[in-house]
Amino acid sequence: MQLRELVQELGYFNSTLYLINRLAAKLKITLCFFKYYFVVQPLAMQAFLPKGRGKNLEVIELPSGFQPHPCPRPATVIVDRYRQGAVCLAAYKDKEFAGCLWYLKHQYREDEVRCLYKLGSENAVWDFDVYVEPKFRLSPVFLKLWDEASTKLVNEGIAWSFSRISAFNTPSLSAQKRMGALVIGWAVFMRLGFLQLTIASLSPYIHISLSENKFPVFTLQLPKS
Amino acid sequence: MPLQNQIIEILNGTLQAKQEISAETALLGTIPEFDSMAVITIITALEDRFGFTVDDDEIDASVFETVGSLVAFVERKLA
Repeated sequence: MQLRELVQELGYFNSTLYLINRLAAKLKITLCFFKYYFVVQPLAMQAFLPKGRGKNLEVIELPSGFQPHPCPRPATVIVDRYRQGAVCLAAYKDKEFAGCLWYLKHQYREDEVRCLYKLGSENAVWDFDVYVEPKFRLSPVFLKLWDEASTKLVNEGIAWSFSRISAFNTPSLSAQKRMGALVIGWAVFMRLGFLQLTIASLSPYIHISLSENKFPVFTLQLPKS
Repeated sequence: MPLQNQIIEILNGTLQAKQEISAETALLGTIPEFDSMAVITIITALEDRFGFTVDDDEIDASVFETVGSLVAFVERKLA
């Protein structure tokens, strides 16, 4: 991607962080920036997928201990997600794994950087790691997963879903916005070895961590109106 | 209106991309707005406009590579 295109897509600040990451990786320096936007999306019974689409897709909940787990993440990460109380919904087409999404209630410990998200509402969940197998990326798999999760959660009294999106992933951010997501904040994490510096638009705003046991806690609130 | 222009009209109306779509525009990988949700919307709009039905299994990346490949797909459906 050309520099001009990068700036057009990410803006000056996010492009700078992105380029520093690229340079640090090239120079084998353990410096890395992460920038997340926190978003919240209303859940609805009304499906995004038009009637008749996705009929050959089956969505099931995968219990903890499901082996082999089809989500392409390390086994330790999968175990940790279930330990936190996460739910995994997986889509299958003719018994072939097509994708999955995860969500949990109350709080989520981020697995990319050191921080904890607490949900400031009982009728909200945290959704994360929506994965679709490459061959199904244009298919109705993503919308089928989202619709099934929405229906299930709305039936349980849940009305909102929080998540975080990397500022370097603009297609994902624009897709979420088109589905009704609202940006409620952002956070930048700079990691250099064990040092983690956090600057965020939400409390605690600034945080310095030098160990695994010290991390910022973000309490995510629903929009006021 | 020629078939290609009708399809471009649907694409521009559906994607509302930053760039104007023309016959030469590559779709997949060049337009950030082009994702599975956009594909479903475009397929639905094509079905409504031309009166055919598209099965989920017919939705393939090769169909959406370029405006030309999408036009060829619609021509096959109308044949």
